[in-house]
Amino acid sequence: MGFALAVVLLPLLAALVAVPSARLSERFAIILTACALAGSAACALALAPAALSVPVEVLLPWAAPLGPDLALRADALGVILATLVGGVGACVAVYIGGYLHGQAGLGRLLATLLTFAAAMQLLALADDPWLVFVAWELTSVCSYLLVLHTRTPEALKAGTTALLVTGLGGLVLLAGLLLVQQASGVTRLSELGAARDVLLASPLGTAALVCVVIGCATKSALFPFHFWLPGAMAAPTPVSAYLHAATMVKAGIFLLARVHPGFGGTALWEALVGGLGALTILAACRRLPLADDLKQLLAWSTVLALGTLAVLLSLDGAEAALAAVVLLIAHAAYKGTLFLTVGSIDHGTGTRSLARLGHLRRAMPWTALAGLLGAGSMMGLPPFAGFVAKEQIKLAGGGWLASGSLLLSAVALVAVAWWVGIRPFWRRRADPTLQPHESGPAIIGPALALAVLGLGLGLGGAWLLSPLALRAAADLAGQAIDGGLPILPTAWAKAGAAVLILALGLTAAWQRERLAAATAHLPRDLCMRAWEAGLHGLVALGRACIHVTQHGDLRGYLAVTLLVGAGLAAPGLAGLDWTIAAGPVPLWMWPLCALLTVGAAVAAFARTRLAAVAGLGAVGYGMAMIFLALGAPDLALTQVLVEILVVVLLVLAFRHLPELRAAVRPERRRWLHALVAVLAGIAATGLVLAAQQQQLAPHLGDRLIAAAWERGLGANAVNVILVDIRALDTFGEITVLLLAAVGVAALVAPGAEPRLAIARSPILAAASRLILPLAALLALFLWWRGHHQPGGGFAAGLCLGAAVVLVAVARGGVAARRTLRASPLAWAGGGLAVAWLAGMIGLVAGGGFLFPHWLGPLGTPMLFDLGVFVLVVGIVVMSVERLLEAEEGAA
Amino acid sequence: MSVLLAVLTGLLVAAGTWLVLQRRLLHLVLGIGLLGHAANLLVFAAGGVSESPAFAPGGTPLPGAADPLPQALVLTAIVIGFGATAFLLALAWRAFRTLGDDDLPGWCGSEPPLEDDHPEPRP
Repeated sequence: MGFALAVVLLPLLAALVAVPSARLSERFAIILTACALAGSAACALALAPAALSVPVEVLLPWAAPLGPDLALRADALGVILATLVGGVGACVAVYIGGYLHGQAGLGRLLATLLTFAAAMQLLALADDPWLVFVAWELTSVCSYLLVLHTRTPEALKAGTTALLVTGLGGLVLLAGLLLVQQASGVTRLSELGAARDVLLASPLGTAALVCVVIGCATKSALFPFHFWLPGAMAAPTPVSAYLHAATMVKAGIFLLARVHPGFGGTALWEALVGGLGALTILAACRRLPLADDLKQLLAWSTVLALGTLAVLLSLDGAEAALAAVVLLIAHAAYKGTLFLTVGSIDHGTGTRSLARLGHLRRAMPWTALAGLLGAGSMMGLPPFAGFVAKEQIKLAGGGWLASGSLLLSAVALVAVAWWVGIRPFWRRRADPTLQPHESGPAIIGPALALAVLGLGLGLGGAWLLSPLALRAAADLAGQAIDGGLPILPTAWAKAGAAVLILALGLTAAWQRERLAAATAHLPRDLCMRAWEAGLHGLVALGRACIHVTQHGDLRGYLAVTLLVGAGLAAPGLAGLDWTIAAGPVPLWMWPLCALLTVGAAVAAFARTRLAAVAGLGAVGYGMAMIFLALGAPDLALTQVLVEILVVVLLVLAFRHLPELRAAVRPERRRWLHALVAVLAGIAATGLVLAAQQQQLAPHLGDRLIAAAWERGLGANAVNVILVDIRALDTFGEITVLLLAAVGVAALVAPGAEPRLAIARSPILAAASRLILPLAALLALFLWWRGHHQPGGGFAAGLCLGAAVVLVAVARGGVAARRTLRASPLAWAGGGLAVAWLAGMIGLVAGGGFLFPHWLGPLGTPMLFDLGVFVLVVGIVVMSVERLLEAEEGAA
Repeated sequence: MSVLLAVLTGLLVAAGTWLVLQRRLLHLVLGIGLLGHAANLLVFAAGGVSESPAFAPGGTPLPGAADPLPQALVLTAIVIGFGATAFLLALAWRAFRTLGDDDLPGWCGSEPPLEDDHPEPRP
């Protein structure tokens, strides 16, 4: 159990410290990375003995009451993949130290690489769909970040394509995994074989199969998604070697192998997986002769190998499964070797062009050796691992399509091996301008290490590979295998076919130019172009939708919002009792109704600014009278005072705006606006009626009033609610008020010369002098009595504020500020501070922030109300003063 | 009477909606003012109406006293409405000064276009 967790956690922990350690010392970071990955591989190998008998399992409880646990299971196939990920990763880490020596962002690269390795290890050991999906997506994201490491436009484009393809595939895979779970009823991949009959009998089984295969095809670059892999070669070469040859692209194949016990052997599986594999092989073979860049050649040969693996997995039987497992291992070793070789060539000559390179064996003998060893394995020559794989593939069987595509793939691999591993070193001609030099040991070492690994696996194939590979194949195929892997002496005997393949491949390699000429005229990149056209169409569709819905016209948004709101209210209103007893309407109500109606109508249809302001003012005063008549004197008082100030504000601001009569473009869709207005009005009426018919807690009011008296020590329940019971709300509200006033000050810059547009009236000036002290007294009185009688801090602040506004209008902003003795902002801020202080007393004296404390008739709620009072004075004067002194006219 | 208040609320909402759907900046400000009144009346009326205030002189609530909670909500809403109106007017002033036009649909193109985060794939 400890080893299984360590396999995943070692790279993850190293990833956390990679960036800081790279800042400390590049060498240290490289060693750390290599050690973490090698340790991870060692832990994976430590799980191998158990994998041969009873695999180690780790269950992590997750969302316990809802579902099953997260599960890790180290079976033979998982251990093989985890060992590869760790081992190749360690080699690549050392290689990075030589290849990207001294480059910026190395720590970031290593951290991403380690995160990727952790995700890959998680995927190798995961046994439930959720962990598989998470690890799967994480590898896609890490691949994206690593491809983007160079930050060139090509890398961005290629990385984005790869991310989109594999990301979309990941979503399809998630659907597939969930369908598998629904269809089979098991939540563990390892139990799929046992649940096979249930799975295949379920109507969801087919859909599950198709979804899983599509998801795997995107990740493993199978046709028609193969186009992203050559693009991803924009990544640094060691990253390509690691992700896009040895490990990540194997994830799809690996998952296909994981679900093989469930789906393998069905006709659909054979047709789909085998067909995609064969098409992938064809597509890769078509492109190989045209590629000049060594990395592109290797990328297409990786596509080729992935197609081969898919074909092998589509076949039934243990021999084919064994061939797939062995090829998976051998390919990781030789493709990693060749990638690192190509990186070394690039490093030593500055080019990867097949046409320019040649004759490198003198200048780069060690690289040449690595290339030779890698190519030998890739060609399937004895005694390399590739030979064992190729001999086992011969035993796989299958129909003519599978056999033919496997043969084609074997021939093409020989050719690619020649081009990449032999030709640059042994060719006579070369671009004379090249000045090759051998790479350092940090580059040569890992390449040779992987090459020797391939050699060792081949030499000791039967003994080293056999147990794990046989077990993995047996798990896959659901049946044990007689005998073992082909070993050297027996295979030598039937070498005829191998010689034939070799001869064909070398001929193809020799006839490269002729092959290129033969395939050059065929249409290219069809899948890529179809994908991009689809993407283009999607973006165009999005733009079209935005054009329709996000037209930028505020009124359109409003109309739609209001209509939707009214529509949502409609079902509720339909069930409403519209014939509710109206009750006697007092006589005074009718003139008030008339005032409100006329005021609203004037505001809505006025032709002049002043009339519109008057209409709005009439509505405001009408509201105040309604409040007064219906038991809300505090509201009436506040409304009247606010109305005075709002009318002043409107007049001050509207004088800058054009007159309503002034020409505007003609209005269209008036009837639509009228309809929206009427519907909104009906919805509001219905809302009020609905609320009135549902008195949820009729006695709540009385209880609040009683509580206000008993605990808040005040007879005016409205005021007690504001300054005591819900004082925190009020504190928030006055903060908002202050922010709004600061916003006004920020938006309206005072004119260069503050001047008064309103003619100064001596009568007004004199009156303001008289009114100010009276208003101040009245304000103090309102504040003092607010706890028991109508009044309170809001009303008091508005009262004094209105008097100072009168001073400002009559004698100018300077006079107003002189009257206040401080800037309005200081008043507002000071008020907030006083309110906060009142709250802090409660916190210090006990009970919590804003908890009331009384000392005779004085209490902290009174102090809080004083803060409200002072703040309101400040914000009122601030707002009016700014609009009063605003510069005139448009900029 | 409750019905009358409900109808009045609907009337104010309709007038305010009509105004905010007009194309003049001034109308927008007026409409929001009317909608503010409508919202206050809505909360006030929805809480149930009574003619005696929510007072308890001497500790006993007046008979049939109104519910103080909607009143407290509306009171702060009135003052906040003042702050909002001031801010809206300042915004209107700034917008008119910057754009030189009080025709709302005319502002449509004035917003700088969004940065294209994802360049279109080259075909």
